[in-house]
Parts: sequence; structure tokens; C-alpha cells
Amino acid sequence: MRRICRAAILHVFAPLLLGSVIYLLFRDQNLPISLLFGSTLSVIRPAFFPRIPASILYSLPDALWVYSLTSLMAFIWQNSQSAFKAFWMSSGLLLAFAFELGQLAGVIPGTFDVLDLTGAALAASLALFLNAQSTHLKRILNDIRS
Amino acid sequence: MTSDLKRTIASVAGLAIFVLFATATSKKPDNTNNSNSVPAPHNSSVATTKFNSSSEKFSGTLDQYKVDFSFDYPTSWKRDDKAGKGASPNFVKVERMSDDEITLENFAVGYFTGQADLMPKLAEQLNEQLSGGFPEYKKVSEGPTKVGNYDGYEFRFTSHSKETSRGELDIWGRAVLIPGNDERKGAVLLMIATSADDQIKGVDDVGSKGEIPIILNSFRFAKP
Repeated sequence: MRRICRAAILHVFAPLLLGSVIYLLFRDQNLPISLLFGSTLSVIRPAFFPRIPASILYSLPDALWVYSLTSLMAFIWQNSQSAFKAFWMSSGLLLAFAFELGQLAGVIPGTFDVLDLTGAALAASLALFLNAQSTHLKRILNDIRS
Repeated sequence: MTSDLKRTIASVAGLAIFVLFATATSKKPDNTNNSNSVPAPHNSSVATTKFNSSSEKFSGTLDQYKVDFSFDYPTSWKRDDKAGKGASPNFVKVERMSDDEITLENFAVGYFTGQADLMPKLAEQLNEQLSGGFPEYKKVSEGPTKVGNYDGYEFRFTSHSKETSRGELDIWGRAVLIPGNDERKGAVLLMIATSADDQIKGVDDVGSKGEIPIILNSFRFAKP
């Protein structure tokens, strides 16, 4: 149980938190999430932070979001044989692509960026790879115990 | 309840939370951050100089697409002598510089002939043109906006220069396309600010902090 909690914190909550921190500290101050925290953040904002490349500021939070969601789905559907497993585990990537393509079509506000798509694909792949590694490790440990 | 049903319920709940999260970190549909009903200038007592395009002589393309407009800019700003002449795409360009000649803010007005329905496409063309002129260029937002009484379409961009006399500098830009109508042609307002300015902390501050608001507040076309 402790291992599951640790994995959830590391792969689901931490990436989401990091993405939120990037939004809160460095991104648009008119976003709903920024408005929740008022102007107090402006005190600790940019001038005191090292320069962060725009690609990180604008693409990393999205990639972290995809990583976090994919990890969550991988935890939920671990060891399942359901036909829907693949759908749920790719839901983060599908949503990210839908958002980006919606922006390209002008249906969703925001700016289409190939880097966001690439980041989302890499993040989902990394989440699935790490989850597969962890499952594999668990099996080996179980085999040793039994 | 079967195991898969529990997983499905957990997945739907998780997805809902994540989508909610994404909504909280995405631009509001009305693009309120773009709306520029122009904030009151921070220092309205600043001495200003008026620029009036109707009293200027342009040549070539600028003369062909000339539009009459005026604005006031702080007297301490420098006017670029090259703008409005030769192959310059701008009718005028004014600039605020530091003592060591680093650009803090600049404002330029260029020619533009498109109608309102072509804005996104023309913005993309302008974006491509600008991308070649700035190091590490990246467009970061786009959408409808307002400058004074004029509806326009804008995009914002970031850039980063490593070779300045102050070392590395962030460059933040905002291009506003104001469409033409039956009475007059349109114009492009190009605003740039750098991290050398203490008042401007990011791309969202361009045109709302610093001294550019003084210019935007006073910008008018001769014909509405």
C-alpha cells in the first residue's frame, strides 16, 4: 500500500503539482488558476528566478499533465484484461491531441504548437514505459517471494 | 460490482478531475487577457509628442497603403529615422531606451490592408515574417483584442537574445492587426518590450505596463 501511495505521489501528484507551479509563477496571470491565488504571487514572480526557456514554460506543463493522467490510468488499469484498458491508458494522449487540434481549428482558445504534441507523445510514452517497468519489477519480486 | 466497472468509475472520475484542472489552466474563451480597453497610463503627467501620419511623406509601398492616424508618445522616447522611408514596413517607430542604449520598449505602426475575416490568416503570415527576425522566437498566444475603440486581432510572442551588452535578455512582443474598412485602410501595431525594463515582467505586460499604454490610449485613426 505504501508503495502504491509513493508511486501515486511520484507519478501522478508531483508532475501535476510541478505543472501548476509553472503556471502560477511564470505564465499568464489572467488564467483562472492564477486568479484563485490573487496577486500575491506577483511578489515572488520572474525577476528573482533564473530565465526559463519559453519551450519549457509553454510546453512542459502540458506534457506533465499528460504524464500524470497516463500514469493514473496505468495504475487504475494495472493487471486488467479489459478490452477498454488501451483506450483509458491512452486517454491523456488522446485528450492532448484533441486540445491541440481544436486549437489548430480555432475551436478551442489557445495556440497550436507542434512542440506540445511532441511533448504529449513523449510524456505518455514515458509514463507507460515506467509503469511497464514497475509492473515487471513487481512480478519478479512476487516470483522471488513465492 | 465487477473489478472493471470499479476501474471505469475511477477512470471517469480521474478524467473529470484532470479536465477540470486543464480548464483552470487554459485561456478563458472570451480572451479577456487580450482585451485592451487600454489601462490608464501609469504616468499621465509624462510630457508627450504627437505623431500624425497625415503630415508625413511616405514613398513606395508605404505611400500606396498610407492610412491617417495619430498618437502621442513620451517625449523621452526616440523616433527611428529609418521608419517611414525606403523599404521600411513601418510608417513610424518610436523607442524607449536605457542609458546604455538597450531597448526597453518600442512601438511601431506598419501598413496592413486586410479585412476582419482574414485576420487569423494574416496574423499567421506576419508571425512567420517575425519569426525570422528574432532569436528563439515563439508565438505564445493569439486571439481577438481591442485597442481603444478598435477591434483587432493579436498574437504575442517571446524571444531570447544572448548577445546584448547586458548579457541575456528576454524579448516580449505583441502584434495587433487592426482591419481596414470602406473608409480607411488598416494598420499593424507592433509592440516590443524587453526584460531590461523593470516594469515589464512578461509577455502579458506588453502594452499594459510600462509606457506603451500612453501611446495606445492616444492612438486614433483619422477616419473611424
